[in-house]
Amino acid sequence: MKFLDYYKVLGIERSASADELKKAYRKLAMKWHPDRHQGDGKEQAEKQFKKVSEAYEVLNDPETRAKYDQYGERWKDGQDFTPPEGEQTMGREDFEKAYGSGFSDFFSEMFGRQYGEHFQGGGARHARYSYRGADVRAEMRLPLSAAIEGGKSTFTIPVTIDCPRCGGVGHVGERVCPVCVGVGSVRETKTIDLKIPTDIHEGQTLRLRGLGQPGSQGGEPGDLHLVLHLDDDDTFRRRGNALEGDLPLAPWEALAGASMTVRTAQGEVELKIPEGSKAGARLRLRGQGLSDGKGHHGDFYVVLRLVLPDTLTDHQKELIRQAGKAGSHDPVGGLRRGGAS
Amino acid sequence: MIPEQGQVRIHGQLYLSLDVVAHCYEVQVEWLTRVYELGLLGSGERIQTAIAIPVVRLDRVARIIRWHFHYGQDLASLEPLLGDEEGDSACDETSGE
Repeated sequence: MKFLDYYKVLGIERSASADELKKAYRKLAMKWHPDRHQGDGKEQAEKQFKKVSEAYEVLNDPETRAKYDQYGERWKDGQDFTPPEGEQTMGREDFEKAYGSGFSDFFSEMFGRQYGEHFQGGGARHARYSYRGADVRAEMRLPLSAAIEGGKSTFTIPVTIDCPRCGGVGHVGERVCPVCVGVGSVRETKTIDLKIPTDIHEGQTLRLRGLGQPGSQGGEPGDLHLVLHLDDDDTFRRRGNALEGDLPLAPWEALAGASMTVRTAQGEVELKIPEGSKAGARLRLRGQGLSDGKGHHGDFYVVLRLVLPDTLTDHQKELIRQAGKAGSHDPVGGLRRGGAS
Repeated sequence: MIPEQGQVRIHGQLYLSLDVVAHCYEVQVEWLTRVYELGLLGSGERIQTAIAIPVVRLDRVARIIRWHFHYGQDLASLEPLLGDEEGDSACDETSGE
């Protein structure tokens, strides 16, 4: 890239008035505007248009124009800034040798960070000339079971693409494009296959590169920032970073104790059910809950639920009766009045 | 006051509130209001707190949106290219160059 003399780009004198500047810019911008060029000449037109627009933006602002002019004078004093007549550009190598940095750095330093971002892109939606697409933020709700299980989840997001009718220019011939009403882009939905992270947490933001708004003029697309929200479901309930899940138990497992494998947010864990456990009891598994996103994990609480079999054989019924008669357990209170018959 | 639909007829010409226009083109009302205040949309009508522009100016809105968001031109550099009124633009036609 060469250092450009903006006055030469616009074909005006350094003493040109604001009105002369505007007229020169309008004339050249009209000539080179990408909307006016098709086919092979479009790329060259875009390059010219960028130069013209860049020159106008700098010189149109009195403050930046003054700095531009001032820097030129300093360069003339120390580095012989004013090129010979008819030779008003300098090579990048010369430029960097003289200034010690690249073209973009030069303007960032000269006009401030905002200017630098404006011309380099900096990820901003309206980044000039980098044409990177905008980043998009979307929210996705996942049931806790699906989030803990991991794997993939498919969802759709609205995206903006170049209008297929007019190719993004907003007009067809001399008429406004009937599909995009002149904007040059249309909305559609995109299907995304998301790999659910293994150590997921509420409010986690995933950055999906290239799934934001499309870039234009060959620029790269923006990113999709997907915010994950975890919803309670039939099996799991979230309490901050702690999780709570129900564990169905047969009465004899609760009475005699048992060992079993349970699924927590951190994987499968062997759980020992103590002998004589009661319905509704909560067993804590330390550090088996959700991540807080900072390396810590909440606890996982297993809530015991006693589940009776739907059907019992006569033999099973008899064994239960015998167990009841052999024990001293005699439930009282609540709605109960008197003994069982 | 502009009716709920955001439409009003003034001297036989249909006007739309900036809220409605912003909604149609999926841009922020604040951004479109700034565009209006920079004079890029030409003259409009203030009706109490709302601003309305004639529907014949909608292609101009579309052009500004496309040039600003698609080509990255800042609003200040759009003004010389837009012409004075009624969406007359320097760049309405293609040259095929």
